[in-house]
Amino acid sequence: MNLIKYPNVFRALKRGGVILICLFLFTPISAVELEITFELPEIKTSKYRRPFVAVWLERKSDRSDNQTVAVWYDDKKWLKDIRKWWRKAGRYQDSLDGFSGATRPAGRYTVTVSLDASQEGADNEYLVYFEAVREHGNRSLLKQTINLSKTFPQTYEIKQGQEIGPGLIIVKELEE
Amino acid sequence: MNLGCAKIRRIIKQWVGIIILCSLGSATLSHPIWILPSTFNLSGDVGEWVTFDVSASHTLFSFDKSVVLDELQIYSPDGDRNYLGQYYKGRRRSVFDHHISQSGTYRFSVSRPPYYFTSYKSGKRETPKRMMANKQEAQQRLPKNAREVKTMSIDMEASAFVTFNEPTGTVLEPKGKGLELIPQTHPSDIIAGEEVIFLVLMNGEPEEEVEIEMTAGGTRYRDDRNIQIFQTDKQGLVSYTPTQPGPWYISAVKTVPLNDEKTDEAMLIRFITFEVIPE
Repeated sequence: MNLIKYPNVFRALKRGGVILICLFLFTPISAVELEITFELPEIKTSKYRRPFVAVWLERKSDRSDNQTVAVWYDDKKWLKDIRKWWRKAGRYQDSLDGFSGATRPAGRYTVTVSLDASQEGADNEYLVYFEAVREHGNRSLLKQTINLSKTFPQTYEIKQGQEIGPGLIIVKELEE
Repeated sequence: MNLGCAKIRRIIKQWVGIIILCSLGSATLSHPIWILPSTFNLSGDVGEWVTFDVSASHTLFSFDKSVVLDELQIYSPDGDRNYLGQYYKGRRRSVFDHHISQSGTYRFSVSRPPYYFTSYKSGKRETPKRMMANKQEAQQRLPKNAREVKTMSIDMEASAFVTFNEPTGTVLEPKGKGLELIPQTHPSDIIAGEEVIFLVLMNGEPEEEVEIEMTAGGTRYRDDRNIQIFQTDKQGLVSYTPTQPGPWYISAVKTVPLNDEKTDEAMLIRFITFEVIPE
């Protein structure tokens, strides 16, 4: 294919147009809110104990900006069993105040977190993790990539795991 | 007929001898010692007891021979030495408990005092023989016609690391003396499907071409022992990506000339038991 040589004027116009379109499409959004809803399934067993649960996220590109949204437990002794959360986040935190709580029965729960969405490219992708582990039971780890560079609102569906899920993540622009 | 029987018997004896000697090769000399903690990672506000099995066995991690733990070294995260009181020494394993109370990483190391063996050849058939003796002891016991006499010492240490809450690195710092096998990937961060890196130092300097073996536990329950064999590179490093979660075992072996009054060579062996965490 021949390389078409635009006159300088055209070239400048084209470049300007691209920049304008870019500005229009990618007006930076400073903050978003994640509304994370998930289920703790009802499990019929005589040995039922409420699961330990952690919901957390991290920037996908370099695994930085790790934030715990919720951790539900009863004794810190067993926090290590929320294996991935413990390794990625739990063991580095001096205090779990602000996002921790007691274990909950089966049911549907919603937690929220706000995120800075002003990063560019791959840095604007986050991984949301759901981890649940139950005494005498199983452990489930679910994860979902969310892209904060796209338009809002966004909806992501989380499939069902043995001990947690299905779930839903709604990403909304945070009003000033 | 009688003569034939005697001949056959002699040949059988000879072969049995060779087979026994072969099976008693370096594997027996490096009869691996391992320390296996009841848990590698703990969480909590207060400390917890951890119990440890120690045994010398070829099957990982099955008990075979108990180990004297009088010289067990325990280092807490602050770098202080902890001491062991009583422990149990059975026939096939030794057991000790330790209270993990400081946040961070502990190191547990057990070493065998160096022991010696002397190999030589004697007789018309050049039969290879060996005795548990150092150079001086061997001089008195060797037959007159002993040839190719060589004495070797074995210096062996086995370690395991236990982490309570946030991992720390004090107990991983090199001492700069002898052969050291040091986890570069923190031992509480070894994950199935992710690369693990170990560093080998000799008197504080990276040592290349050190024989490394890594094996997953449970060898009794599979046909293929599946040993991963490596050599350290120029930086003294070795890396591998384990896929099987569970307790694993790594060994580093280096033979160095050491011409002193007791031995000609020293075989330095370092073992570490580590846990590969499933994702």
